Amino acid sequence: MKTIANKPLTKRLLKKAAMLWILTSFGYLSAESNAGVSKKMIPTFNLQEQMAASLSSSKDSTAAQVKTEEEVVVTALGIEKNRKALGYSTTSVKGDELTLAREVNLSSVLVGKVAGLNVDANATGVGGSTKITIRGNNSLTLGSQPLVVVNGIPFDNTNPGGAGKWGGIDLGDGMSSINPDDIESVNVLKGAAAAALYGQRARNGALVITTKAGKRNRPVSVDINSNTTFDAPIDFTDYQFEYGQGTAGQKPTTKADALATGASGWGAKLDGSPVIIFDGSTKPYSAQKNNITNFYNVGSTLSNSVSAYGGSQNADYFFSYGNVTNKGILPNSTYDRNSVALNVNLDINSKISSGVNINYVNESRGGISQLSDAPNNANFGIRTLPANISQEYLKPGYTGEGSTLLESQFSDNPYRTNPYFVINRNKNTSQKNRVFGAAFVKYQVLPEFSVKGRVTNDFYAFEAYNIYPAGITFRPLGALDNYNNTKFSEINAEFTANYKKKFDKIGVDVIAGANTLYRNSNIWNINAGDFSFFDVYNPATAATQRSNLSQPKSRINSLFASADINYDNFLFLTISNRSDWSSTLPKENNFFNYPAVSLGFDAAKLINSSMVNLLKLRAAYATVGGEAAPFQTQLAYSLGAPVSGTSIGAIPSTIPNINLKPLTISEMELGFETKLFNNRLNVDFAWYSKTTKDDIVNSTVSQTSGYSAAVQNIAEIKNQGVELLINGDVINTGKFKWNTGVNLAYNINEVVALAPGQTTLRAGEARTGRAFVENVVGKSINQIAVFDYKKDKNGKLILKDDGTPQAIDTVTYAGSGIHPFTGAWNNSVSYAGLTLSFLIDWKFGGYIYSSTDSRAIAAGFHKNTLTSRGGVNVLGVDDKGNAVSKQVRAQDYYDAIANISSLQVYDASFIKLRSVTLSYNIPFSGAAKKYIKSATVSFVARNLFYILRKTENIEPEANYNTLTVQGLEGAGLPTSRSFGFNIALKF
Amino acid sequence: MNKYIKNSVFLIFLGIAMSCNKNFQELNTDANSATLSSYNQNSSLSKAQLEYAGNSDFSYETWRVNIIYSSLMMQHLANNSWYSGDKYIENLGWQSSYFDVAFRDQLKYATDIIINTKGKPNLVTLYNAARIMRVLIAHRLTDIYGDIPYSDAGFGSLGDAKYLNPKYDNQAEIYPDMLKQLDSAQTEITTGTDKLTNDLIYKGDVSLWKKFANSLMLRLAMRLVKVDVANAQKWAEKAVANGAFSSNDDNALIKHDASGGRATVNRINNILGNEWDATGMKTKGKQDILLSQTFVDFLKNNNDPRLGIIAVLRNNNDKTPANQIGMPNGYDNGTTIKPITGAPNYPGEADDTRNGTTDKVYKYSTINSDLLGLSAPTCVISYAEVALLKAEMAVKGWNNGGVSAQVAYDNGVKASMKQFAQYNSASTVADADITTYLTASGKKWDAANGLTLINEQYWVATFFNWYETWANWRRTGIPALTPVNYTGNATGGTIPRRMTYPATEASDNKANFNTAVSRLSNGNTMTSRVWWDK
Repeated sequence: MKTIANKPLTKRLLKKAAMLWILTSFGYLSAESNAGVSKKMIPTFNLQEQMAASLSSSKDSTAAQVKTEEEVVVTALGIEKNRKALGYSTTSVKGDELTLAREVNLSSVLVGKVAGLNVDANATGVGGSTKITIRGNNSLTLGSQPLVVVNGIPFDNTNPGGAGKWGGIDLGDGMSSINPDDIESVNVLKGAAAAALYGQRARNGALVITTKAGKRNRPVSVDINSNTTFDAPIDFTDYQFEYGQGTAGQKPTTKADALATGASGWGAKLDGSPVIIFDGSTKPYSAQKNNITNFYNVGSTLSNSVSAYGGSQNADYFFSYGNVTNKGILPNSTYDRNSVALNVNLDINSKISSGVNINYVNESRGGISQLSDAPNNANFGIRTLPANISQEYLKPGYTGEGSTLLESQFSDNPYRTNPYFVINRNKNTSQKNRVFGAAFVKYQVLPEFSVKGRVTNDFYAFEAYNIYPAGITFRPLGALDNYNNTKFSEINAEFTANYKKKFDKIGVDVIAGANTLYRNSNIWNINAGDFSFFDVYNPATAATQRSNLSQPKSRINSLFASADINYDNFLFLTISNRSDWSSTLPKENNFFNYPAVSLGFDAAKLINSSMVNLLKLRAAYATVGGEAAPFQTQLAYSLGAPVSGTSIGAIPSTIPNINLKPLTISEMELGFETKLFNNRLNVDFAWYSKTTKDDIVNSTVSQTSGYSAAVQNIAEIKNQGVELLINGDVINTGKFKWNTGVNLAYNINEVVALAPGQTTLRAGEARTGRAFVENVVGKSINQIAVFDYKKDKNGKLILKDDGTPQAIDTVTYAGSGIHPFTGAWNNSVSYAGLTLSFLIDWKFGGYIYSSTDSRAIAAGFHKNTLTSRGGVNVLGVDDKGNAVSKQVRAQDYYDAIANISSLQVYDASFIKLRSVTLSYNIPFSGAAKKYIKSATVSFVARNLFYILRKTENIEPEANYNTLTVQGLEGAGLPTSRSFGFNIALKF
Repeated sequence: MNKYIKNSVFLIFLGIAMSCNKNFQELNTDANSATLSSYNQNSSLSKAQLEYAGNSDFSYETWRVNIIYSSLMMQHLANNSWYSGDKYIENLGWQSSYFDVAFRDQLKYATDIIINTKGKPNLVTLYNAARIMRVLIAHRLTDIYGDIPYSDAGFGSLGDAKYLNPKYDNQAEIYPDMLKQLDSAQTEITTGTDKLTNDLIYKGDVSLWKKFANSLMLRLAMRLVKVDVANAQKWAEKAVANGAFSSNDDNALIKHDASGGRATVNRINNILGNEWDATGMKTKGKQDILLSQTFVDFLKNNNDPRLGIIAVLRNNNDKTPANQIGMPNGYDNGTTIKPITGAPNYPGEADDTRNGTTDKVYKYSTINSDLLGLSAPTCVISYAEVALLKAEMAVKGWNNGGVSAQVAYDNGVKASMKQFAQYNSASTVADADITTYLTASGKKWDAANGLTLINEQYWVATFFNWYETWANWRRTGIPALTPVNYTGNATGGTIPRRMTYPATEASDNKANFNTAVSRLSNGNTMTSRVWWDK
C-alpha cells in the first residue's frame, strides 16, 4: 500500500482523470488543456473535506477550515460546495422558511423566495399542479420545468393530465408529495453550468432538495409541528345587480322562458315583483348577492408532523411522519396526505460508510373540480346566475333518488351543469402511493480518493377517476369520462469516484462517474359510458367501453466528470463534461455531449478591506442537451372499437421522425456577489443569456397531410435576463433584528425560429373559441392571440348589417401570458422571542384572457353592460364603406362585444401580500427546560390581498392550466385567503 | 492494489455506458402498438370506410355538413333555430368540418395502405380496394370544397416537405385522375390473391368491389356534363360497359354496430334519433329537426308510398301519410324576423303527448324513428342512383347498355322505394304501391319531362346521403328549389354552391391555400362554384 502523500500515484491518478476527461468529451475539449491541468498540479497534501452532510461529522477536523460565515450549498449530484467556490448562481432556501405560512404544494411556497424562480399555480384547488420555471421557458412543447431531486433521488414532477378547452380535471404533480417539515434546504441551481452534471434532465435547472438527517453523538430528539389554517374563498366578480334574468328587456313569464334565459341577464330592471324561475316556482325579482361566497365553503387545512432523530458515533437516523387533512373550498372536495420518511447513515468501518433514505407518501383527493368547460363544472355554473337568482334556488341540484335521480337544470343548456348537482354528486377522485428512496455505499480507498455506488428509485402508483355522475342531464346514465391508472418508476444506478487534494495553495477536487437511468410507466386509460346500474361505474356494466394501455420506456446512459480547481481560496475554476446516450433518439443521433466551465474570483482578497467580506465575480458557460419523448421515431399502429368483430385501424396524428437529434441549450452567465459590512449586506447579481436550438417540437402541418403535427427539430428560443438579490440585516442589536431582502428578476424571452416558413405554433385554445395561446416567431413564448375589431383604413368600425361591431378574422397578439418581471420583498423583524415576517411578491408584464368576462358581457352580467341598456348608438361603416349610424339593442351589441376578444385581455400584473407570520418563541426555564427544548407559536396568514391588480371579475393568477396554456382564464376555482396558526415543539 | 482499483473503476464506467446502449431501439418501440410488419393493413381499409360514413367524434362532419347544411339546403329537412343550412347562415367551423376530419380520418388511411402495398404482388386486392376508397373519399371532398390537396394529400408520414404542406390540385385535374384510378383499380382488383379481411361494405367480395368502382365511375362521369360532355359520355359508357350495380343487393352499405358507442354506430342516426336525438322523438323538449314542406309536399302530392315510411308527426307519432305536414324552410322560433307562427297554413302550437312539453312546431312531421337505428347501415352509393343515371344517359342518347329511359327510370324508383327496407325491415314498401305510383298520373315516366322526373327521383333517392343530393342538384338544378332569403344570410338568398375551407389552412398551409382561394370566383365563400358546377 502506498502512502497518502505518494507523488507518483497522485500524478498517475491525475493523468488518468485527464484521460477520462478526454474520453468522455470525445474531443470536444482539446487534449492540451487537459494535459495543462495535470502539469500544474503540485502534489502537496492538505485536503479540504466537502463530503455529504451525513458524513461530515466524523471529518470535522478538516471541515473546520471553512470559515463560519461561508455557506455550504448542495450542488449537482448532492456534492456540497463552499458557496464562495461557485462560478454560477444558486440560491438556497432553508426548510424553516417553508413551514409556517404553508401551502400543500411545495412549489407554491417557493413563490417569491428566489430571484428568477417563477412559480405559477393553477386555479384548481388543493392538490392541483403548479408550474416552476427558472430563467424562462426553454422549450415550446417538451416542458420547461426544472429537475427536482430529493436527497439525490431524481423525483418525477410530471402532471398526468390537466384541463383543456373542453374541460377536464387537473391531476396534480409531484411537488405536492413532499412534506415541507422534512426539508432541510432547497437549493436552486439556476443555470446550465450549475446543473450540467445532472445531464439533459436538468436542462431547465434543478431544485435540489435535501431532507433532514440525524445528528451524530446525540440522544433522540423529537420535533412536533402542528399547523392549522382556514381558507376563505375570495369573490372577485363585480357584476351588476340592476337588471335581472330574461331577454330583450323582459323577465321570464313561463317556466320555459326561465329555462331558456337561465344564464341570461338581459331581463327587466329588478323591481322585486314576482317572477317565475327555472323550476316553475315564483321568487321576487330582486338582487341576490354573494352567490359565490355562499356557494363555496371556508376550507381548512390541518398539517401535523412528528420527527425523531439522533445518532451514535457511527450512525445517525431521522424518522418522520406527517399528515395533511384538507377540506377544500369547493364543497365536498378533500385532500389528504400521509408521509413517512426514514433516513439512516451508518459507518460500517473507518473506510466504508453507507446510507439509506426511504420515503412513503400517500395522497388522496376527493371531489376534484372540473375546470374550463361547463359540463360538470361547478365553477362555471355558479358564475352564470342572473342577478335575481340566488344560489340557494339551485339546491340540492337534483330530483328523485336512485335510478330516478335527475339533475335539476337551471337553464335549457344540457351541458351547463347545476353547481349543486356537481358538488353533491361529485365522484372525481384520485389516489397516489409513492415510494422513493436511495441507498449508497462509499469506500474511502485513500484519504484523497473514494468511490461511491448509489441506487435511487422513484416509484408511484396513481389512479384517478373522472366521472360524469348518473343523472347528469347530458349523460343520464353516467360516464366514466376517464379512468387513469399509472405506475411510474425511475431507477438510477450511479457509480462515482472522487479524488481531492490540496497542494499548498491549490486545491483539486475531481469527480468522475457513470450513471444509468431507466424510466418506465404503465398507463391504463379506460372510458365507459351509459351504465346499467345507478352509481355503479364498473366498465363491465357499461353500454360502451374502451381502454388503452401504454408503456413508455426510456434509458439514458451517461459518463461524466468534473474538476474543481481552487487557488488560494479566491480563484475557483470548475470544468465538467457529461455524455448521454438516450434511447429515445434514433441510433445515429442518440449520443450527446456537453461541456461546462465556470470561474469564480473573490476580489475581496485584493481589496483587503474589513468592509468588504466578499466580492466574488463569476463567469460560466455551459451547454446541455435534451432528448425526445419515447416512441417518436416510427409510426405506431393501433386499433379502435370494432364493428361487429371487424377491427378498425388507428394511426397516430403525429408524424414520427427517424432523423431526430437532441435539442441543445447553451448558456452564458456572468455575475457577482458581495458581502459587505461584516456580512450584513449581501448583494448577488447575475446576467445570463441562453439559447435553445433544435427544440423538439410537434410542429403543426397542414391537416391535408393526414396528420396534425410532425415531430421536428425546429424551434430556436432565446432567454436573456438579469437577477438581483439584495439582502441586509438592517438592524441587529442582538435583541432587535430586522432583516429585509428584495429579489428581482427580468427575463426576455423570444421565439427566434420555428420550421422554415412557419411563423406561429398554436398551443391551446380557450373554451370561448375566441382566444388562443400561440408561439410566434419574434415574440416571447405563450402569446395570447385574440380578435380585434374589424375596422376600415380610417379606423372606423365595419359593422354587420344589423349594426353590431364585428371581429376581424385574423388574430392579433395581446402579449404573453408569462410575466417577464418577477420579484418579492421579504421581511423579518424580531424582538426578543417575537418575530414578524411578511412577504410581498409581484409579477409584471404578463397578460390574461378572461373567459369569465367574455361570458359576463354576453350575458349582461358585466357592469359595463349597464351602459345604454335601452339601446347602443353605434357609428361605423358598412362593408361597402358607407357611413352607418344605428341604434342596436344592448343585448345584441354586447353579444358582439363578447366576441371582440381583445377587449377581454387584461394586464395580469399584480402586487400581492403573499404571507404574514407572527411567531413567539416561548421561553422555558427550570424544570420545563429539561423536557422542552423550544416551543414556538405562530399566527400565519397567506394570500391576503392584492395591493395592485388590473383584472376585473377575476384574479390575475386565475390560469386553469399554466403548463400548457398560461394566459387563459376559464372557470377555475376562486383563490382563497388563509389564516391559521402553527405550533412547533422541540423535545 | 490501487492499480486494480483504478482499472476496475474505468471498466465499470465504460461497462455501464456501453453495455446498455444495445437494446435502445427495442426500448423505443411501443410494445402496445403494432409496427408496420405486425399491423394488418386491412384495418386501415375498415377505418377509412367507417369514417367515410361519418366521424367517430360524435358524427362531427356528418352532423355539420351533411345534416346542418346539405339536408336543409336541399329542403329535405327544416329547422327553425340554429341549424344554419336552413337559412344559408355562415358558420365557418361547421362549413369546414368535413375538410377538418376527412383528410386525417379517411384519406390518410386509404393513402397509408397505398404507400405500403403498392407493388406488392401478394397485396393486390387490398391495394386496389384502397385506391377505390381513396377516390370515393376524394370525390366527396372536392365536390364540397372544389380544389383540394389530392395528389400529395395523406402522405404526411413520408415526411417530405411537399407532403407536410400539400399543394391544392385543380378539380379539373382531379376528376380525370380519379376516373383513371377507378378504371385501373376495377380491373386489377379481381386479379389479386389476397382477401379483404376487414371490409365493412362487401365482406371481401371483389366482384362487388368491381361494380362499386364502376358505379362510382358513372357518378363521377355524370358530374362532368356541364363542363366536359365528351368525357362525361366516354366515362359513363365505360362505367356501364365495365359493369355497375344491377340491384339493391349491390348497394354499398357501410355496416355499423351499436355496441361501440359513437365510434361504431350509424353516425347520422345517432344525431337524428338517438344520442343527440335531433328529431326529438325520445327527448323532452327537443325540436331540432323536422321534415321540410318542400319534401313532404313532393311526396304527398304524388301519393308517394315513401312518405308513410319516412314521416311521422312530431307530437303524436301519427304516420298516416295524409296527415303529414312539412315545415317550411327559412323560419325562426322568435317573434320578429320570420316567426314560424306566421308561416302560411301554420298548424298551431301543440303539446307533446309523451311528456307534456309544448312547442310551436310539434304539429309538423319529422323522420320516423324506424329509419334511425344505431346499427342500420350508411348507404354510400345505391343501385337507385345508378339506374337513374342510366335513365339520364338514355335521355341523352348515350349507350347505357341498351336499357330504355323508362325501364331505367322505373328501376331507379323501385330500387329507391325498396331500399328503405335495408335500414329496417319494418320499412318495406309494398310492390303494389310502387306499381300504382309508377302508373298513376303524377310521376309516371314521361319522356317529354324525362330529366326532371329522373333527377327529382335522384333527389328523393339520396335521402340521408345529402352530400350527394346537393351535388346532383348543383349539377342539374333539379328539383327547382325555391331559396329562402333570411336576414343575415351569407349568400344573398341563394342556395350555397360549396362549403368554405378551414381557417387553419390559411395559417398552416398558407401559400398553397392562397393559390387555391385565388382561383375561386367569389373567394373562399359559399357562393363560389366548383369547377364542374359552371
